Formats: sequence, C-alpha cells, structure tokens
Amino acid sequence: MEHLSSEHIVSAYSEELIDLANDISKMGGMVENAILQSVDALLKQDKKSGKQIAKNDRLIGDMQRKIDAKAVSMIARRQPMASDLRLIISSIHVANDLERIGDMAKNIARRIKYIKGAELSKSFYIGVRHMSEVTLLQIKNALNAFANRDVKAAIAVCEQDDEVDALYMSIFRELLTYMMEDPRNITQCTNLLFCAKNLERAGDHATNIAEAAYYLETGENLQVMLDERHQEQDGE
Amino acid sequence: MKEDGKMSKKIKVKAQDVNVFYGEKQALFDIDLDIERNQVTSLIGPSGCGKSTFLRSMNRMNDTIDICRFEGSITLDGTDIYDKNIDVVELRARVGMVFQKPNPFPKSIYENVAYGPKIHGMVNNKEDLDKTVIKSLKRAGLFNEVKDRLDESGTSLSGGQQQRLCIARAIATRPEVLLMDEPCSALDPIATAIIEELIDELRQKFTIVIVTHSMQQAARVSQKTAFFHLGKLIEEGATDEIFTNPINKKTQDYIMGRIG
Repeated sequence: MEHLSSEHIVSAYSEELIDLANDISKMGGMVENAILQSVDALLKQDKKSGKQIAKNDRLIGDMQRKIDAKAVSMIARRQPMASDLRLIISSIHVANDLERIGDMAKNIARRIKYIKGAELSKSFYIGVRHMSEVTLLQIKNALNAFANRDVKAAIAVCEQDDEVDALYMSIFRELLTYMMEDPRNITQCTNLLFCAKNLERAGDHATNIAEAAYYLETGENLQVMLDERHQEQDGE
Repeated sequence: MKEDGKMSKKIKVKAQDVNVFYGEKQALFDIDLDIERNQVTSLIGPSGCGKSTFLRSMNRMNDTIDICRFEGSITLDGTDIYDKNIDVVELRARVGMVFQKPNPFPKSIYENVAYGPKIHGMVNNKEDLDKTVIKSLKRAGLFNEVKDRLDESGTSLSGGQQQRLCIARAIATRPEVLLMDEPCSALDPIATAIIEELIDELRQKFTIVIVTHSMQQAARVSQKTAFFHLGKLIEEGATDEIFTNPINKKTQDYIMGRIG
C-alpha cells in the first residue's frame, strides 16, 4: 500500500497504527457476521440464536471501547499529524458506526419473537434476504475502501445507498398491502418493517464509513464533494 | 488592479528568488515566500534545511558573516532591504530578533529594555523612556514579575523570564516584524506556554516569523507554515492544512516523523 511506503522513525508508532487499522477490520468482520446471523435467524424465525447475537453484541461493544482507548492514547503520546491523525480520528468514527450497525443486528434479532406465525408470500422473504445482501455488500465495500484508502470505492458506496433505500421502500409498500389484506398481520408486519428499517439504517452507517475512508485518503468531505459535483452537473 | 492592491497590503515581507551562499556552498535555492501582516508564520524543517538562514536574511543578520552572499530580493512594505541605501542598523530596529538562548545584556532589567530606544534616539526624556520600558515589559508579560526589582541584573532572572526580557528588549524599539529563532527550545513546558501565549498576543501589533524544531509548537502558534528541506521551500500554506493534509510527500514524511 502506497501510504505505508515510508515507515515511522519510531517503529512502535508504526506498529500501533497498523494495529489500530487491523482492529477496525476485525470489528468490521464481527459486525458483518452479526447482521448475517440476525437476518438468518429472522428468516428462519429462530428465537434461540438471540442469546448468541446478544453475546456477540457485547464483544462488539468491547472492541469499540478498545479502539477508542488506543486512539486516545496515541493522540496523547504521539501527537499524530496529517494522514496519521486522519487515520486515528476516522477510526474512532468508523468504530462508532460499526457499533451502531451491531445495534441494528441486535434489534433485528429482538423482533424475531414478535413475527412468529407470520405467513407472508415467499417473494417477500426473498426481498428481505436480497436487501440484507445488498446492505452487507455496502458494509463490506465501505470497510474495504477504508482499509485500502480507496477513494473510488468510497464514492461508489455512497452512490449505491439509494439502492438500499429503494429496497426498503418496496418492502414497506409490500408490508402495507399485507396489512390491508388482513389486519391480523399488523403486529408481525410492523415488526418486519422495523427490521427492514434497521437494515436501511445499517446501510446509512456503511455510507458514513465510506465517508470516513474518503476523508482518510483526501482530508476532504465526501458529501460536500458529491453535492458540488451534482450542482456542477445541474448547471451544465 | 484592486485585488493586487489588497494582497500587497496584506503582505509585510516578500521574498523573491532568494539564493544564499556560504562560500561555495549554496544554503538557499530560489525561495519565494510572502509573510503576511499580523500573522505568525512558522518555518519548519530538519537541521541544516536553511530555515534559520532564511530568517536571518530578513534583517540582514547574515551580513555579519564574511563568506555569506545573498542574491534575489526581500522587500519590507515594498522597500528592498538589500538596497545599498538601506541603513542596516535602522532595518534591525524595524525587524527585531529573539534568539534561541536568552541573551540578556549583563545590565539591569531596566537597562536591557531601555538600551534600544536610547541608542535609536526614540525617546526625548527619562519619562518617555520609563513609559517605553514599562510598556514593553507589560507587553512581554514580564512586568508584574519584575516591577519591584528593575535594578537587578537581567541575568538573575529564570530562563523563561530572561527570554521574555529579550522579547521586551526586541519590541522596545517598536519593530514591525519580530523574528524568533527557536525562542522556546531552552525553556520548560510552562515557560514555553507563556511565550506561546505572548506570541499570540503580540501578533496583534507585529508580524512574527518563528523558526521552530517543534512541529507541535508550529501547529499551536502559527497561522501559516513553510516547510524547508535541503535549502528549498518545499511547501507553504495555512497551518491547519499543512498539519492535517499536506500535499507534498516530503512534508508529510517530515511532520509525521516518517523516513522518506
């Protein structure tokens, strides 16, 4: 990787920075897994997996605290500058977004018991599965953009957020029709709607991570850049 | 043009194509740098990069070195300071300097500050002189600590106080520009913080250029930062930008403490 072409004179500092980046990757893996597990449990209506998911959520919280503590310690002891400073600051942001995605996974798992017995069409469950896959891909791509300081990939994640939003809207409409068809579905459908909303919000956190990746590499704000680009295009 | 007029008002010192040689050895290469009025500009870079040479070019301190040769131009409010009609002593009253090691004269605290205004004939009587000395000591943030012992020797003060005495001495001649060559490198963190606070206050009245080895200090006190490397000006810009998002790889490596 280009940014590591020059090493720190103090090698322990280099090691700490690498360690921090590795922790983010590790936490990213934990969170991706949490979403995967909870959506699986939701679709299988598997209440038993809830305990495991709650336990994983505690581990994710521990990881966030660990990353924050490392970042604070490095700021205090190393007086980081330029891209080192940006890595440390954006790691704090990314760890926070990951922790929130972890919460989304936990919320989904919590609702499993309320949707018991919902018998909706097969295509609906395929839709939820699809939305979770797109969201997971967004999270994965955002984390890769962060790890590789890949500006193009970061922009792509932000631009694809619309897809997650559109999938959420279509699930919303579908659930609405089920509720109108048979009011007995309302409880289950409302809870399923919350689950879809949680996935949609997880997607929003993925774009935050992509923004952090963009900032890490360029020192600039991705949303501001995109807004300016859109204004230019509108002007043409 | 209006824009140009605005810019030249903002710029206090302008260096263009500055080349400096010590005998055969070239110490500075084609330096172009604008120093803005009422701003603190810090010059950073590894030892031997030419930052002190550049600082000393701004009040012709290098004239005192026989083998030193200057090419190019440095203007102060548009006047070429290397013009043969320039009175160097007067120039150094307009462009004051504070050095790395506090170097008070072996005289009383009062005399240390009074010396400059006296030899430059800036005061008419004892009353004027007293006022100037007190005002300078106050501006340097030293007055309250020494007001009861102005007759004591300047060398009896602590290191941080001595440095503030030197600052009071430098500003007593009402300079327009204050050059500081690592003013805190011999001081403890508290004395350093006091000087840094002082620098921030002084910039209301003066234009300040500071050479420092401490990147954190440059980041703390200056609005503009210029990075020198092997006699060349590599990058200059707003301090915020230089320390969060420098453009040049050499600057990045230096401020982050990486091996280039």
